[in-house]
Amino acid sequence: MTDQDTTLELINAEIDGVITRPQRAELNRLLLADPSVRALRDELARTCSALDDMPREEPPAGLHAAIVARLPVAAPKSHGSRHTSFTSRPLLRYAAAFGGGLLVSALAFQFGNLDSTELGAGQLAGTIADATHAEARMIVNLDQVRGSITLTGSAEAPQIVTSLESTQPVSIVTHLRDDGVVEVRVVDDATDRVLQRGNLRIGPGH
Amino acid sequence: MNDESDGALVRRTCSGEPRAFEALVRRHEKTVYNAALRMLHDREEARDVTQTVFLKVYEHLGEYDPSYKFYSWIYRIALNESIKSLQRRKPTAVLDFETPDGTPGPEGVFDRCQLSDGMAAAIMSLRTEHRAVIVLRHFMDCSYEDMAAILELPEKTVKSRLFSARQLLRTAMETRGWTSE
Repeated sequence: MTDQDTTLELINAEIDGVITRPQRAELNRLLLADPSVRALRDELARTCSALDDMPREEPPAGLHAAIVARLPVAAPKSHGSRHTSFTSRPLLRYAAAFGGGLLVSALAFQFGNLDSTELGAGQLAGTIADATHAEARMIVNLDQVRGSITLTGSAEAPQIVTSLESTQPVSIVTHLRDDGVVEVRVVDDATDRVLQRGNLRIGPGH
Repeated sequence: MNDESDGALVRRTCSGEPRAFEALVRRHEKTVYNAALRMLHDREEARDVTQTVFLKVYEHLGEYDPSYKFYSWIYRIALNESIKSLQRRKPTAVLDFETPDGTPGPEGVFDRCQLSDGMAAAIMSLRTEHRAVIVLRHFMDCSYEDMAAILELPEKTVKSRLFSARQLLRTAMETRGWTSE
C-alpha cells in the first residue's frame, strides 16, 4: 500500500466514522505534517457532507398504491430447500426453518440449554418415538407438513435428519437434553403454535 | 405491524398475508426510490424501477435466505434494476443529460439548491460502478460490509472503489466551480 493509499484510507475511515484510535493518531500526525493532506481531508469531508445533505425525496404520490395493486393475488412461491437456516435462530431452538416445499437437511447437535421461550398451546399431535438402535424416527403427517424427522448418529454425536414437505412456513425446534433425549417440535412460523411434538432417543435401555 | 422485523413480515407474506408485504414496501420504498433516482436522475424511471423492484421481491420472496439481511437483498435488486434501466437508454441519452445549473451565484457561492443540483449532475458524471458505491454509502446508509455483500465484492475492493468515487466526485464538483472555502 502506498503512502497515498494509506492517507486516503485514514481520511475515509474518519469520514465514515470507523477510524480506530491508532489510525486517528496516525492521521493527526499526517495532518500536522502535511498541509496537502489537510486540504485533501477537508475537501473530501466537504464533498461527503454535501452528499449526505442532499434531500431525500418522498416517493411520488400513488407509487405505493400502484405497487400493491400490481402484486399477484397468490402468495409468493416458496422454495423450501433454499429457506433452510441454521444461523438465524438460537442454536438448538431451531434446527431448521423453511417456507414450504421440500426440506432435506441434517443438523449435528451440541450440548446446550433449552431456550426458555414458552411455546404456544394447541399442539395437534404428540408422538413419542423410541429407538433401541442407532436411529429413531418421528413421522409427521399434518395438513401443513408431512415427512419424517430422524435422529441418527451416536448418543455422543447425535444428528437430526429431516425429510419434510410443507405447504407453509414451519420451523423444526429441537433440544438435546442431558439424558440424551432430543425433544422435537414442529412449529407454525406464522402463529408460533406447536403443531406436533415428540421425543427421540438413541441408545440401549429404552 | 411496523415494529415487526423484516424476516417476520417475509414469513407472514409467504403464509398468504399480503398486508405484511405492504408493510415491507412502506418501510423500504423511500430508500429504493431515492437510490434509483440518484442512479438514474429521472423521476419517471426511478418510479418504474421502484415498482419493478418490489414486484420482483414479491415474486422471489420464497427464495430469500433469512441468514442474509433483507435490505441487502432488496438493495441489490434495486441497484441491478437501475443499471438495467440505464442500459436500456439510448446511447445518446446520457450525453443529452441536461446538467442542472452548476454555476455559482454572483458572489461565487453555491446556495443549497445549486449545490444539490450540481452534486446530482456530478454523481451522474461518474461511471456506473462508482455511482453505485456512492449511492449505497450515502443514500442507502450501507456499511462497508453491507456494500460488499450487495455487490458481491471483497470489502477491500468496495472501500477502494468508494474512496476513488469520492475523489472523482470532488474533482467533478470542482470543474463545476465548487471550490474550497
